[in-house]
Amino acid sequence: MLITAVRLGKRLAICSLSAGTLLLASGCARAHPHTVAVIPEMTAQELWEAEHAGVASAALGTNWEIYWNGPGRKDDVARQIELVEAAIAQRDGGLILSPDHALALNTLVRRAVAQGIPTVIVGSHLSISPNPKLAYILNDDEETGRLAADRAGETLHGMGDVALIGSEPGIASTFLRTTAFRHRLSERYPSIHIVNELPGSGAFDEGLLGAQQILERYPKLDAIVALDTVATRASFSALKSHQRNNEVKLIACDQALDLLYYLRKGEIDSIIVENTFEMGYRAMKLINAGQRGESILGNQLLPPTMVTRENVDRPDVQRMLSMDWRPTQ
Amino acid sequence: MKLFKHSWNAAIAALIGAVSAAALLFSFIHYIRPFLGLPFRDPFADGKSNLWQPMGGAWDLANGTMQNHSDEWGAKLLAGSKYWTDYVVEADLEILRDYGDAGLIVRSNQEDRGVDAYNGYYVGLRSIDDSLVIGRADYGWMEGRPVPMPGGVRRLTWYHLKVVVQGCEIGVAANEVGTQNRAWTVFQESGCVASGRIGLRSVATVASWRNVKVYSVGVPAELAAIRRHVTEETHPEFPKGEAAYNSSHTFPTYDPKDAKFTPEKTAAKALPPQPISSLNNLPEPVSHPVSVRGVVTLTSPQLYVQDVTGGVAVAEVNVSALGIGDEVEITGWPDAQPFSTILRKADVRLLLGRTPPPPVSITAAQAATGVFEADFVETQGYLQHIHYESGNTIILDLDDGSQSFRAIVTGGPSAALYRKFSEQSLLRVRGICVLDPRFTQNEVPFALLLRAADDIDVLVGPPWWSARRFIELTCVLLLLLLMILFLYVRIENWRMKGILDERERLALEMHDTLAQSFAGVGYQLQGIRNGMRNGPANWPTINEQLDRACEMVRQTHEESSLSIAILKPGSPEFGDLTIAFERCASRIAEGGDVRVTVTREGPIRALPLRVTDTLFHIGAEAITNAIRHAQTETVEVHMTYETNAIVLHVQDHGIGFTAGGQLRSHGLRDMEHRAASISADLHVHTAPGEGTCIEVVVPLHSRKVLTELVSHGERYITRLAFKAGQKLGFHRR
Repeated sequence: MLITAVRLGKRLAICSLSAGTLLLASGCARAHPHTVAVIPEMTAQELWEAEHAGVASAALGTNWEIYWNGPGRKDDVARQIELVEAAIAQRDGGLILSPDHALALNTLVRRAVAQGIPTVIVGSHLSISPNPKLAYILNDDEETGRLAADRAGETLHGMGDVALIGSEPGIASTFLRTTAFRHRLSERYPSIHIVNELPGSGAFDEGLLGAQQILERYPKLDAIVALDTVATRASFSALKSHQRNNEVKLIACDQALDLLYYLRKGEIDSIIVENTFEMGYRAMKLINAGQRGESILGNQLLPPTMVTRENVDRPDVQRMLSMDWRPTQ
Repeated sequence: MKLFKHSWNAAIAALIGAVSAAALLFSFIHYIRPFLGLPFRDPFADGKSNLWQPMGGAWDLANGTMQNHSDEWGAKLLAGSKYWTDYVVEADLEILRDYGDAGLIVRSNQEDRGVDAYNGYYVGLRSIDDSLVIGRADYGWMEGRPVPMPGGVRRLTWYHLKVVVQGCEIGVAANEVGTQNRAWTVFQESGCVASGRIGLRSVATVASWRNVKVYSVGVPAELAAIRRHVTEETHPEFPKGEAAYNSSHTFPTYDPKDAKFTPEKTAAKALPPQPISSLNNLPEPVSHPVSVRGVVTLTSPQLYVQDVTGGVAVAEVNVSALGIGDEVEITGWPDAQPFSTILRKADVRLLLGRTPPPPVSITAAQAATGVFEADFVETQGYLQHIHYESGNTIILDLDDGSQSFRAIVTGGPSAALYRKFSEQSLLRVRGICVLDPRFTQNEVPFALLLRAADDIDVLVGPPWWSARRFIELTCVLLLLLLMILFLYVRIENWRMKGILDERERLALEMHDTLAQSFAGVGYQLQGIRNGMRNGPANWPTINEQLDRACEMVRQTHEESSLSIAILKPGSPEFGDLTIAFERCASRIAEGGDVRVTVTREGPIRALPLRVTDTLFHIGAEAITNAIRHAQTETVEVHMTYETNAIVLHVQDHGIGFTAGGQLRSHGLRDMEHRAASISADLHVHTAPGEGTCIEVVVPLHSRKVLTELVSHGERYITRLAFKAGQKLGFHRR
């Protein structure tokens, strides 16, 4: 009887072990192959919501599910890291990432690629070379700087004083824009002088104070080139406080709905718009190709577009500015 | 077989009963679930609130309000049931900044940290354009047309929001408390979210809520009352195109005349700020106030501010409008303490909103030195115990091997969140390092004042093996063993019963066949002996008697060989009954004129041993009766293997008989008895002059596997029975 009990016990143990292994295997095998994680620098920003719309447009008619989420603060790198880790742990079918920091996301991106997750970096470069599972789609920030210089040259007729607001040495995009702007000015518009470069801070109040100080210090300032949306808002408010909106041309970089409103009113001269819609659209197409096993190796630079009051309603410009993440066609 | 059939029926009945009960329970839950937990009310009184789940933010209960002290975008605090469908939710809310928005979430599901990281609807007051906003979030945001709020949306002002959800319509009424400033809107979406939780939410501002209540009574009337003030419904349509958004929305003015855009630091500073670390080196007594500038790292239970040189506690100050990450300038009187300085009677001037500084990662030993007093730090330790104190204070006792310390959270929204942390797990905690005996109770060298449950990360879970786990496992194993033993004993009993039943049946069979035959042989031999005793041997008679005895032995031998062949799993007769019937028929009809044909229809199936044996004996009896009594020239035996039954026909074209009545022979009764033993139906179709047809229908389970399982089981029992028979001398090979 004891021997039979032992045999029965053995059989029970084997059955339990098999069932447990099956359960464990099913758990380990759980993955989201048809989910693409799209993690921008920050959500609820027009610049990045356009990327969301581009991804949704490219995914229309496919069985891709889009997981869109990002940090609640611009420099909340820790939260972005958490989201990328979650995407890797869930073995999503693709990752579209706009990194908040040039270094902090490197390890995770390498890990995602090593796990075979097609990854597209949008917006800012990382120090990882493209490979069959990693691609870059970036804004041509140097072209942004050149367009700003050309616009300044055009509106100021080749001569005048310009202030540059919002450059941040640690941020590659503003650094590239600043460098290209300076170079273009020196090349083509030597009579336009940069009288002041105010670093960006990410805080409206601080930017406003800085812009007001520049306006007070340079009463004959002809133009301000603002390198990001915060700098643009701060400069715009400073110009209003000094009632110099009509005298000083404000040339802005990066789009926002309120800034486009004032562009239409003529109170902002022009906005150099990043085509994040197209970045998202192309990124989704690459993810699709990567999921099929094709190589997505590549580095694409998309040119920005100079948007003025005259061309803001053009269909191609409106498509670029679309934030419709629930497209029907 | 009968036992098995009854068990099967019982199992089916139990299954039907269970399914019916489950269906009833499901119906009950389905109809009652949308109302479970309603009405819901939380006045946030007494510092108690266990019902809320935070997703981001730094939530704090104070003075009957729930406050978020973080200007994080999209911080949420959720409560209620995901099954709530139609309801009204009301609350008062106050925005504490000149920008951002705050409001209520309804019908929320699939929540996560993130600005629009939920699937549901949001209704709020937005200060940047002074409007009442409503929209749909689904990891993206689609807004309805915003409605201007009369009087604007001003900071430090209480507003009352009432949100009514019914079907796919959401009605909203907003008013500034104590005034006639009101706004209404109705939002409609086809394919809407049908049910979900409620929540509090803020974007880029510090905000407060109070008097939250949810109820499901009078929903249609409430919605109708709101609809009366609305001429046009709004739908989730923004932003789609920039041009459309531009034409229907208002935008911030960025006008310095608007107080929202006037920075506070235009006034000349009275005192130049000094580094916070220099406060520890001030000469005593202090004759004038000092000014410091730093970032807020904690607001509750006390205000802490930190710059690049260190941190300082600030007492006796109103922190309601401050958020974690705010850059502030503080002017106050320094009060030297053993390990640091506290600023008292302080004036706080908000300068900017910033991202909170990251913590400094240190060991517990370093924290215990006091060097990091009032600083925002991070360290790790093994959780020893969690205490739940009054006033919603939660204390975690930690130990990193060399130091014991505490992590304290006060005023959080839900103590239940902390129950997920198991003792002996390795936790990483972030908070303000304090050595104040008010927090350490002089039992530990330092304590960390945490801001929220988000400040705790589990690095390593508790070890699986512990004394308690070992005892539990032992009990479970013992229980399992007892169950196995119990089942084994039951199975053994069933098996023994089956064996005994089979032995009894075989014994009866042997009595009816072998014993009778031996009795007959014995009678013949006795007759021979008596004849020889009583006179000279009559050799012809003796020969005749011997012939009869030999014939009886031969027949008995053939019968028993056939019976044994039926019982032997490897024999052809066992696998195919038609072979057994052919042998039987040829033996019985030997020397006669009756022609017996045996046919089969359908693929042969493995049958249980008892069925095979019983069916054979019924068939043999029927064939014998037909050959010996029917006066027929032909007998047809036909077996049909169907999916759910075996059908045996034994047909003759003889004289027939009257069925029933006194001619119901012992043989027929025996066939009926045998048929009943295997739950088969026996039909006798006969009439005088019309021949006789014996039909036996044996039902089988449609599942082949089950039939074969039973067949295997019975063969096992039979082998045991044979061995038993051998030992008892019933059967000789």
